[in-house]
Amino acid sequence: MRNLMFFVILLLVGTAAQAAKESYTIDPYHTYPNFTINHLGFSTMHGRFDKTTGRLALDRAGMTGALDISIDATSVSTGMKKRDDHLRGPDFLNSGEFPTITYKAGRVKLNKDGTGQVNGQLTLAGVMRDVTLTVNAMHCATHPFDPSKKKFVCGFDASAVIKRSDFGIKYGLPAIGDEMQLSFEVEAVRD
Amino acid sequence: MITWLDNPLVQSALLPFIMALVLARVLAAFLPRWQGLAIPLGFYPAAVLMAGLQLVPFTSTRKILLLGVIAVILSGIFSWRNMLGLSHRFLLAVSIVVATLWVLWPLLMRTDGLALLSVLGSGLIYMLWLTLLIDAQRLDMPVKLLNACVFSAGVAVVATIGGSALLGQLSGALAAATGGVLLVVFFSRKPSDAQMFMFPVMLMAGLLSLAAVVYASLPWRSLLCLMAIPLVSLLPLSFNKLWLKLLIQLLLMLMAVAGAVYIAWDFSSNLALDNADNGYY
Repeated sequence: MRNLMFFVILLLVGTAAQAAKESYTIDPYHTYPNFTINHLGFSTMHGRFDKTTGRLALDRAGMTGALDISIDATSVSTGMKKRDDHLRGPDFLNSGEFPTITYKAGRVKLNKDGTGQVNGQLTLAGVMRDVTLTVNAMHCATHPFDPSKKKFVCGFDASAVIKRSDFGIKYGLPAIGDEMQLSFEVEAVRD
Repeated sequence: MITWLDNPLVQSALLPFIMALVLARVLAAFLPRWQGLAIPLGFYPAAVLMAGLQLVPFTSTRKILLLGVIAVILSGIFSWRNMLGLSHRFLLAVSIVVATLWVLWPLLMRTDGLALLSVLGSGLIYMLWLTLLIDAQRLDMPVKLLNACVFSAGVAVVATIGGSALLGQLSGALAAATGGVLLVVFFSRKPSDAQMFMFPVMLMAGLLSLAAVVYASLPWRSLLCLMAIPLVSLLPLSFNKLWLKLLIQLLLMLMAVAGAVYIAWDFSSNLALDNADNGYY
């Protein structure tokens, strides 16, 4: 009898833990990773990636989670085709050989005010480096435009400053900036 | 690090040219049979400055540089064993096919059907044409060197226009090193033998141009013009003076380069015009 009770308690604890961890799919139409980089000391150039997929696991009670983002490197867009083609080439992203940029984070730590920190690995142009994202804002709620009121969405804005030379991208250094701000503005829908 | 060594002009022109020139002169005096070794010896220090020594990530550019080293060793073995004729050409052809497949591999893995056949077929025909055509012919050494030098220089220009400064700079260094050896051979009174190192030069220059097409945005049509360069050296031009023969061939080869540059420039300008602005830089 004692064994049976122990088993039931284990089952209940396990189910509760499972229920606490929610699984989300990134909404590609509201998720556009983007970057800024200094251009020859004159100005700051902006660019973004148009195609992103991924998953988010979130324990909202425990304020933890995991993140897995895949970015199509060929979808880079700065508003000018010639520059985008150059960015896709061997001097920068080398998307012909490394078509996917990934960010995988097993440790997401959130605060009650919606800020937090994400520790993960960014793989860019075939090079993987540890990159910590700072979560600037996060919000989870039922989608206001969904008539069934069943669509639950979590969104966050996170960013980090990386050095492109750490990823072997050295074209135009030091004239074109080495440091670039990488921002993830993500919306993800609960499965 | 000395800062002037970071200058692209030093890396892709001055350094390989001067190193190859000096080494070709030294080798001509002591090891004339190995005079052509001055080309890779002049090229690789510049290549290391441009691409670094690390092999990770294993990009097509690094594969090409590694293949160049393997080709130099193979060429040395072929020459040492006096391997000529059909067996030699068969081995060269197999090496070219393997090298081309290796460089194109990341693209081939993601392509199928007609697109795969098209990339693979045209890539292999292009590489076999370039390398075997020069290797198989009994040409004067200066003619072969001129061919390799002009071809590499042409690749340097079109690769840069076609969207990759790195591939362009590497080809430029190859042209400069070949040019350095060409000068020494041209002014030397002794017959010279740089034949064995034509294979690595043409292999690397060919693969760099192929990479500029498949991994950057150089149009295939540009390569068609560059394919005419080896044909020029086969034209039956009979002049008593070697310099006159070289000059005529140089002019004809430059016409092929001009065609390739025009196509690359036109393609690149059209990309810019999509945005009604060509002031990208």
